[in-house]
Amino acid sequence: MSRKIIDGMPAPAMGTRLLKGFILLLICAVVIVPFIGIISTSVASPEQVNKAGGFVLFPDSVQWSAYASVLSGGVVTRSLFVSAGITVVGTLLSLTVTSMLGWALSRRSMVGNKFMIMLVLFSLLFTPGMIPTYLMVKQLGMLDSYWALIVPTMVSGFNVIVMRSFFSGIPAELIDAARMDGAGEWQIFRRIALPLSKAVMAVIGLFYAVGYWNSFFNAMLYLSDSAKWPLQLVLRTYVVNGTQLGEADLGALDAVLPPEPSIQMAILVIAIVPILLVYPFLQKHFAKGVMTGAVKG
Amino acid sequence: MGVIAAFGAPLLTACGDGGIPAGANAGNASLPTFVKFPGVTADLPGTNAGVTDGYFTYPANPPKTTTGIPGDGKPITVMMPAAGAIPPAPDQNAYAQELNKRLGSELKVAWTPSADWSQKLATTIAGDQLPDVFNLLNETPDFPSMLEAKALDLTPYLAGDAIKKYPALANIPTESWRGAVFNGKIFGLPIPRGITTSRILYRREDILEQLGATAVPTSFAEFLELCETVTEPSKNRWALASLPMTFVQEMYQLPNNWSEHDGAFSHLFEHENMKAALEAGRQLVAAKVVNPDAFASAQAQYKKWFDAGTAVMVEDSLSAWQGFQRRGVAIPGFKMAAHPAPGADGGSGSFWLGDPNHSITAINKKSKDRVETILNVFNWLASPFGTEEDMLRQYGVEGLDYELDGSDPILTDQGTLEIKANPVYLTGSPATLYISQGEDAVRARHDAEEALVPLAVKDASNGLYSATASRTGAQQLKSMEALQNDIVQGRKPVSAWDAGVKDWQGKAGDKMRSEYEEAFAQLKNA
Repeated sequence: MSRKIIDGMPAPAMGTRLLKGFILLLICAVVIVPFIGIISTSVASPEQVNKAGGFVLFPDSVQWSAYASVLSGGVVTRSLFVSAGITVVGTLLSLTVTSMLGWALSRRSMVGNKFMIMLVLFSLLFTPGMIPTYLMVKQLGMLDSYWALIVPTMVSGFNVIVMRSFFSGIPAELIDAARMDGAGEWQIFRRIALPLSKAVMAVIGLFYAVGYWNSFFNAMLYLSDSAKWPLQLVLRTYVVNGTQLGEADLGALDAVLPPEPSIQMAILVIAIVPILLVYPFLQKHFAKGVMTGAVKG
Repeated sequence: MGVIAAFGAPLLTACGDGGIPAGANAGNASLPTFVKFPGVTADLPGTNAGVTDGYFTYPANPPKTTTGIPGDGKPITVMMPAAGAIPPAPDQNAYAQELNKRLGSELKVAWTPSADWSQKLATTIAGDQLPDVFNLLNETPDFPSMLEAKALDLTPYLAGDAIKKYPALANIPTESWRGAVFNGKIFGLPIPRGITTSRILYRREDILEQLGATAVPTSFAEFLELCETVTEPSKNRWALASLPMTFVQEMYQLPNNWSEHDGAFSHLFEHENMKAALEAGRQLVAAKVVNPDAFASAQAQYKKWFDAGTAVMVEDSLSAWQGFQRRGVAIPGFKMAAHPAPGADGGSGSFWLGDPNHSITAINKKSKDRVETILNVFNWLASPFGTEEDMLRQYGVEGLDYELDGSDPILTDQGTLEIKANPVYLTGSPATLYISQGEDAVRARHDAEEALVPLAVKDASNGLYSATASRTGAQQLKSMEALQNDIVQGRKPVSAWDAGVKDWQGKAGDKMRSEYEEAFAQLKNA
């Protein structure tokens, strides 16, 4: 019996297909099982979590008490709004500055082009230390301000290079045609370059957005007022301090308790869900955007 | 607990001990006079040697012990680590509002996750942004110089009888004040912990009873036998959550890090029994009585194993007792105990005392004009157990944050959230033993303390400062910890220890020794 031909190639034998299927299933399980565990533990009863040693895969019952604990008191809710604001404003500003810089650097006729590129590359290789950055933020008067969470990380050299590479790939004829029609640099950038770069903008926007959403360190350094803290820093105090909600080193209860796993897992879910919701809308641009920027110089 | 004191406990929890070495040349300063606060009478009185006062109930109708309002109406800025999750902001927190009202100066606290404390402190110092009051959770290199540059010398306000102006601060034991003295000056206020930072071996008595293995071992051989009896991997049960090296070293009567004899210092690494203790540790690991994931896990996980009964014994700080007990309420039949380490070949072992302080709090040099106000506020906050001030500080507002059951305050849901604003790492009263509605648990721990304290061994370097320990001690300690792990897990022979000690002596040990000896001589001659 001859094998079925698919795309000019003989289809693999049943055994090979089963093996491949099994391996793929295993890889999927490695990703999915912990994720199910996170969700299950977050809704499992404290008794079951304790009995299982902190990780439940199949909850006996569904309880929302961990979420209620985390969301009560308004601290987490307030920080959710802070994070959302920082992410939206930061991403828009980052995209604006990055795309403009990327465009300028892609114009070989620009004076000082090479020097500017070197500067951007330099920032990739050498990052300023924690204390110099802190002093800079202080001198700019941004301590205890939301701008301290946006300005120091507004431009990423890597994203500028990707953007520049993409813009360099736009045919010169297209730009010449626009120029002949009377468009200036700004109009060419806005009317020609930007509409063509939706894919790369989506990808870089996602990079920036995830960066802003996940960042906690700058907030820890620059914001003394915990009412201004973003979500990730608030959640860090639940997870990293290793103390149970409301039962910390307090009063006569002078003890360091293990973190309540269900609360930690609820926190993970709260932190992941917003980014997870954005992902599907941008996914179609993802592969294309990264590839486009990456292979053209 | 100084970093050196952490040896023998390879994976310490991040919290529970601060990491500040005891002060330098403590004897050169006139330490504050200790005046015991005539407070409530303990149900189980403690001892001067270190046993903690035990209380079965919170004293009824706690008396008010301060008069007037300590603050000056202006806010006091504070930087300190967050004990757990951060509290609701003061505008949504009845507890914080009431506390600020009573203090008469709003405490404007900049909380920081304890894991990020070093970076926060370093940048804040570099940026000259230190607030009025700041906790010093971790040691920074050249600690005394940093304090000289940034912290206010409190000696004129607190030394000798001057402290009597602040009765609650005068109630803090002298042992704790030693840890706040550097270069002969009082540079901070201690957050006293008594003996509660010491490590002990907890036992799940309920499980041991079920297995008929309640006999307390009297030698290492019996301890190993007990471990083997209760370990049953098929039932997901191991004798030990982690390798209890402190307990093992106590069996071999090893010094609590540094020991002193006629002014000469020696370290536990160099002790003749150290290799025997390593061999004992190796035997425990080889006998497979330690949870196989122990070396890849941390203290928080060990606690969970102990709670779940996956581990029958766990080494942890004495302060973890209340936590185990409180969670144990939800575990049917839960019963816990702790015993001192027996001598390796019979007789008695020892009990290593932990640091008497959690950490210290310093006052900014720039806030000198407000120092008396700040000390008054600290005095209010350090009000001892059983006072009206302590009740408010620890439990908040009656009816909102807690309800009384008899005289015991029981936190409400609101209280559980709001009480996190308690500035625990600012200052405090001496440690007490009170477990809400847990008389049996209080008795059990008090009994354990009474058995442990007579065997207490202090770290001879306590109260002394070594610049080398401050700069490279932690790093060198890590190498020795790695070597210890290699040996107990059988990757290297016990004989490899000698070369490791030689290396440690060359890189840090000998210098530390001479610095401690010099500091000790100065202290003696002072």
